[in-house]
Order: sequence, then C-alpha cells, then structure tokens
Amino acid sequence: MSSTVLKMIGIGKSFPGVRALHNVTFTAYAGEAIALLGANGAGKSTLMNVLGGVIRHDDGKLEIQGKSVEFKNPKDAQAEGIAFVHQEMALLPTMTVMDNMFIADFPKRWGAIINRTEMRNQCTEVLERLGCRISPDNYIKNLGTGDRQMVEIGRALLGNNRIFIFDEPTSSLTKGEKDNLIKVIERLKREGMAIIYITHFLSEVYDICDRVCVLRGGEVAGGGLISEVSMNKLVRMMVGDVKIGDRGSERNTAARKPIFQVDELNRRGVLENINFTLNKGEILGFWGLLGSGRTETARAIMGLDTVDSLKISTWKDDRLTEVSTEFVQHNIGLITEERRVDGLFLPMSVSRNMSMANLRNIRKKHSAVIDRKREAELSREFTDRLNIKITSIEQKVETLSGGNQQKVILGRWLEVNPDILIMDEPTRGLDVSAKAEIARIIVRLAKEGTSIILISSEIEEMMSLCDRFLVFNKGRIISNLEYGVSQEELVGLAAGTADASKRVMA
Amino acid sequence: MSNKPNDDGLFPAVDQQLLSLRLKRLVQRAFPLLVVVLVLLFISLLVPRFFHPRNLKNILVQSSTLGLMAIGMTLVYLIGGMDLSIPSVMAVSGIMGAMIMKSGGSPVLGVIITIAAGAVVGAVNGLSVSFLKMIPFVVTLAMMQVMSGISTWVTNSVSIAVPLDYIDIILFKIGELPLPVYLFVTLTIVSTYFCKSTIYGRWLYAIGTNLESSKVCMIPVRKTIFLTYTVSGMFAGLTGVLLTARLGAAGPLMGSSNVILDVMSASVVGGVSIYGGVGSPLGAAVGAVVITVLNNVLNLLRVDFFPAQVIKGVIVIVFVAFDSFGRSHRRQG
Ligand SMILES: Nc1ncnc2c1ncn2[C@@H]1O[C@H](COP(=O)(O)OP(=O)(O)OP(=O)(O)O)[C@@H](O)[C@H]1O
Ligand SMILES: [Mg+2]
Repeated sequence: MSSTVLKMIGIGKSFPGVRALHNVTFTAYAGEAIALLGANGAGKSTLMNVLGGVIRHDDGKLEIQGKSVEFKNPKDAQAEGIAFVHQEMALLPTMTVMDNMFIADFPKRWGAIINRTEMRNQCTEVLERLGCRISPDNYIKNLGTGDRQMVEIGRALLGNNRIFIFDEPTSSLTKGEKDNLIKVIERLKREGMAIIYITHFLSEVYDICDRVCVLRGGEVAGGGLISEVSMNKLVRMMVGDVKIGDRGSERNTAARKPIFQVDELNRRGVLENINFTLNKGEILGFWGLLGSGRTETARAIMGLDTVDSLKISTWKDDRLTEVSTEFVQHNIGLITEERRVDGLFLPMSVSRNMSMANLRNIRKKHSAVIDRKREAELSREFTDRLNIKITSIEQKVETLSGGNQQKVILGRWLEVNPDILIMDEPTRGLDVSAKAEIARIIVRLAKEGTSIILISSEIEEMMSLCDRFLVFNKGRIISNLEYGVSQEELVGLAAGTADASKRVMA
Repeated sequence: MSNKPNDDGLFPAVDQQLLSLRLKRLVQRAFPLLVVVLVLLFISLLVPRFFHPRNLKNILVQSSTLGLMAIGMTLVYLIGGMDLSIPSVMAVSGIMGAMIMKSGGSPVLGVIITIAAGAVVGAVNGLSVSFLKMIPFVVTLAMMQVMSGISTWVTNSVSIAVPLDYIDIILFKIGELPLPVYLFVTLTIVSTYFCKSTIYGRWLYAIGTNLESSKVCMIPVRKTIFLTYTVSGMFAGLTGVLLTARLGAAGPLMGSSNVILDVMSASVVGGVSIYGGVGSPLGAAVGAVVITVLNNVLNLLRVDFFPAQVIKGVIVIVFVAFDSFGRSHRRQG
C-alpha cells in the first residue's frame, strides 16, 4: 500500500445560490492515479480549484503528507508541489511556447537576466517527454487546440511537483497525443507522483487510473479501487440510470435532395479544392485528424476567415443557386470548438448568451426592441430541455461548469433552429448522459429536416450518428464514404495509412 | 437547481436570493461614484457660492455639452473602441457651421452642416477601424491631430462669430433652463433605452465583450463598428452646435486637448469600462455632471489650472484601476 500524499477532509464550498461542494473527503496516494468523476457541474473543477489555491473553501481542511496546509492563492499551492493543468487554457497567444511555459518562473542568470539557453533546453526536453513535435519558438496563436493543450501540460511537468491535477486534459488531444500523455502519466507514477485525473471518457479511467472517486451534486457518491468497479456502476454513481443513446443502424435513406453545396474552396496552405454537397436532413460527418482542415472549412463557409476562392450554392426554386456569404451567415448556425474564444460572452448572463444569435426573431413587432419576456421564456425552455445546471437564467456564464457552458452554446442554436447547422466538437466536455442527450437531439433535428455537418474527434460518436463521411487529410477531402464503413478504415484514411482509392468527390 | 417559473410566470422562485445579489452588485459598481459624489458634496459645503441657483443652472448647462460628448464616447467604449478625436471634431464642425452661416447660410443650414460634418469625420474614423482594421487609438489620435490642425488653419486662430438668431434658437429657454439641457436629458434617456433594450444596443455590448463570439452569432460586426464611430461623430457635431451658440462664436480653442480628458473622466466615473462591454449612457451622463461639478468646485476654490489637471488625471486613474481590479477577479477554470 502506497503512502498518502494528499488528504482533503470535509471540504465544503458554496457560491451564491448553489452549494458546489459539501463534506467532500478525497485522498490521493503516491505512485497512483485517482480519477475524479462526476456529471457536469458535480463540483470536480471546484474541488480542484480549492486544491490549486484558486478559490478558498468554506469548510474542511487540507493535509499534504500529513501536514495541515492552507492555500491563500495559487502560488501557495505551487510551493507545496501541486501542478494544475486547467480545463480552460490560460496561455498568452502572442508569446512563444517557451515563454508560456516559463512565464511564472523564468530561469535566470545572475539573478535577473533570462537564461534562454537553459529555457530552450528544458522546454525541448519536456516537449520530447510528451512526444510532441512543436518548436519552443513557435507562437501560441499559431498552434491548434491540441498543441496548446500539450504546452499547458508541459508547463506542469516543469519544476518539482508531486501532485499533478489534470482537468479534462484529453478533450482536445489526438490519439497519438493521448497515448503519449498516458505514457507520461505512467512515468510520473513510477517516479512516485500522485495524479488526479478528471475526465468524461470512462475508458481512459481504466487505462490510466488506479482508484476512482465519484462526485454527484457536490457530494462524494462513491469510490475505491478501479479494479473493483465496473463501468456500468461508475455511470450509475455519476448520473443515476441513463439510456445511452445510439441511433442503431437506422439511417436517413430517403432520396437525397441536395440543399447546400460548396465548390472550389481554396485557402493557400490550409485548404485545397474543397467540394462537397450536403443533403436535406442528412448528418454529414467531417472526419480527420486535428488540423486536417475540418474546422477551417467550417469557418471558411461562415465567412470567418478570408479565403482565396469559394462558391456556395443553396437549393432555391428547384435548383442549386449561388448565394452570397451574407446569406450563408444568416442561415447557417455554427457551434465552434473553442467555446471561450469564439462562442461565449463570459461576463454575460446565460439568457443573453442563449438569445444572442436569435435577437432578430425575438423583436417586438415592427421595432428593434427586444421582447425580454420572450427572451426569458426561450432561455428557460432550452435550459430546461438541455438540463443546464444554473441557479437562474441571469447567472453569468463564466460561473458555470465547463460542460454547462458548452450546453449554453448548443441551446443558443437550438433556439435559432436554422436549416443548416455545423457542429464542431459539440459534445466536448459533456458527461455521459449529456452526450447521449445531445446525440438524441442531433438525430431528432435531422429527422425534422435540419441538415447537419458534424465534426467530432470521437470515432464512436461519428460512427453512431453520421449518414455519410468526408475524410479530410492535410487540407483536402480524400474520401467520401457512406454509413457502414468500418471504424478501422476511417481511422486509417485519416492517418493517411489506408488506401484512398475509393476517393470520390462529393 | 431548477428554475421553474412561479405564478406570474416571470420570475423563478430562487430569484429572491439573486435579487439581493444583484442589488449588491449594483452597490458595488456604484460605490466609487458614491464616494466621489459624497466628497464633492462635502467640498461644496465649504463653498457657499456653490448652491447659488445661477451656479447650479450653469453646471447643468455645462454638463449638457460634456455629457453629449461622453455619451458618444460611451457608445464607442461599449464596442471596445475609443475615440480621442471627439473634442477636435466638435470644434471643426462648429467652425464649419459658423462659416456657412457667415457666408449667408440660415441657422437651420448651420445646424445641419455642423452635425453632418461631425458625422462625416466619425464615418472616416469608423471606416478606418472597421474595414481597414486600424487600431482605434492610433486612428483617432491622428484624427484629433488633423482636426486641430484644420481648425487653427482655416480660422487663423480667430473665432468666427455666429448670428444672433442662431443663438436665440439654440439657447431657447423653456421655463428656467435653455434647450441644450432638455436635449441632454432626452438624448440620455433615448440612448440608454437604445443600448439596453434594442437589438443594436445588445450588439454593442456583445462586440465589446467578445468580438469573435459576436461574429459567430451572426452580428454584422463591421457595420456596427462603423456606425458607432459615425454616431460618435454626430454627437460631437451636435455638441459643436450647442457650444458655438453658448460661446457666440466657433474657434479652435473649443476643442482643446484637455477636453478629451473630461470626456473620458465622465465616462469612466459613470461606470463605463474602457475594456468594452460594460456601462451605459446614463452612467456617462451622471459622470458628466460629476466632472462638471468637480470643475466648478475647483474653479470656485480658485485652484490653478495645472493642479486641477493633476486632480482630474488622478481620478481617471483611480477609476480605471477599479475597473481592472473588478475584471481580474473573474473566475478561471
Ligand atoms: N464562481 C462561481 N459562482 C457561482 N457558481 C459557481 C462558481 N463556480 C462554480 N460554480 C457552480 O458550482 C458547480 C460546480 O461547478 P464545477 O465547475 O466544479 O463542475 P465540474 O464538475 O467541473 O463540471 P464539468 O464537468 O462540466 O466541468 C456548478 O453548478 C457551477 O455553476
Ligand atoms: Mg470542470
């Protein structure tokens, strides 16, 4: 039996209108990884924020290696060897990878001059340990989400830490990066470190963790050695009984009627000759590795990035007619992948965030005045439908849990209910039951005639929802496959290892 | 926690608690303003002349010009921009109007030209910021330079007198107070309603809060930014109309560069954030009154110009500090 490194005893924390934690006792051991699980808003991030010194708890106490400690700020926690990889990234986009890693504590020469050689060496070493190939001199703003996440993790690996907190680290990592992270964690465990691992992917828990602790509504719902708990039992502890939604093999087989077509989309160095058609009521999956051009295609269609060429047509008067980007912007919804950067208005209320794309439709008659009553009604309807955990629709979005923030964005577009909806990683950060619920909603929308472009890095989700797949590789569409294709083939194509001879232009 | 509507279907039951929370937030935000008002009240007690009706009326009249500029500035602050050119634009438009009237134009034409001139310069600012993607600070600073240059150049530093009937119209008295005061109050109400209750107002807050998210929400971001600067220019022009009438002439000194400090002070003291997305025209209007009172008191106490500048500068810094402090207390993670 390994030794206890960390003990959190009887932790309680309340925010206005909500008790986020109540009498939570949590223990971590040296050389072991413990999974911290729970539904969206269960209090996982809050508990870790207490441990990381980000917020102060109301009740309870913390012990590190038997010694009682008290953290007034994140620095205090760091001094005790606690490294925190946050759920939401906090990097400085205009600075380099290296600078970001060392920003809190630059290695110095003669007390004041930054020692860049030392920095570069340490940085390269850490990046190698993580097995990722980014240059220390690259700017953060040029990196994709996955790489950014690696930088964030790299930062935690610097210095003398003994407790590592990972708050949903893999939600935006590729398979390869995930495998590397698992290796790094294995190594940290062998070195006698204590790992706390938050995730919504239960399979990862079995790969990585030795123990588990489940929170539910801010209280401990159960826990123990992972080898003694089945996955079903974990799910029940987290959310009670749920049916995991699957579309089965039922697919949209009605005669296909094109409603939207993209031609000759080019953006130098990023996208090359993208052409495809979207049919009515279809769920079209964009599949590919991170950075293969899926997100970029979505953004180009919405006119968010400048492109070299693009032709968009929609179905009008019984044929496809070319339309302006303006038209597109008013008739297509986009759920972006980075909710905090280009999705939410953090200091605004839930209600305002949800109505923001729908303001034109909730005007009072013949005026530009917003119908507040209608706004509130709709917000309430959709927060209920999506089961968003809030104290009131006036709660600020920045105080919601990560998963609930994601649901707010979903709610925003359900409110608008556009004919075409592009969803980029719509279930990122959602718990199992929420994921199932979203899957059900996507299927229902498609049945009602909405055409959906789905981008997701989770192969199971793609396999269970999509009618058709476009496989992206290095900025091009290399394949157009129907439902029924095997998982192996999809994975192989995306990685560029499988034969793309089935290449068909949509 | 659930949020089922209660009987009247309007407010969820848990709102009781949140109402007190909101009250607390309001008090928190208004706190610095409250302190300033109390301090000013205290000081003004030391200056008996302060409460003389003529002085109070004077304060209202002076607030109206400062206030209108502050409202324009507030709209620009809301979208996360800034407009340093307001006072100089105000001077140039006033001069334009005066020149038109001098060469025989009617007062009505004078008013139209003055406001239009402001709008045109505002539109140039807006074009540079929204479509040419230039930095507001640089654009409007340069514009301020250009406008001060023009106003000195075309007038040879000599004020241009305006016709008496123009003054009579603009300063027309209703009851005890002249037209500008009513205009100020009306426009404060209208623009506050616009910001708080219309789609376009909501867009301003959205753009200032998160530009990228705004684009994704199908808000016509560039058009809105462009129009906001144009409107700011119009407010500057309108101020030009009122101030020219009050001074009886238009000249380059009207828009001297220390006016911009007063405009900024009025907005930030009124709770408008220079980081965008927070504040309201009403706040700025109250701020304008506070700053005018401050000027007035400093004046009555015979504080010299330069120490007065120092005092006002410090006030702005303190308020901006309050603002940033509030922001850094955001939750992250
Ligand atoms: N600053 C705050 N003000 C008000 N409520 C808050 C604040 N921070 C957290 N909460 C609330 O506390 C609860 C727990 O949130 P927390 O972020 O810990 O959830 P989580 O378990 O990490 O969920 P997720 O899986 O979605 O990330 C939520 O209901 C959230 O709205
Ligand atoms: Mg969380």
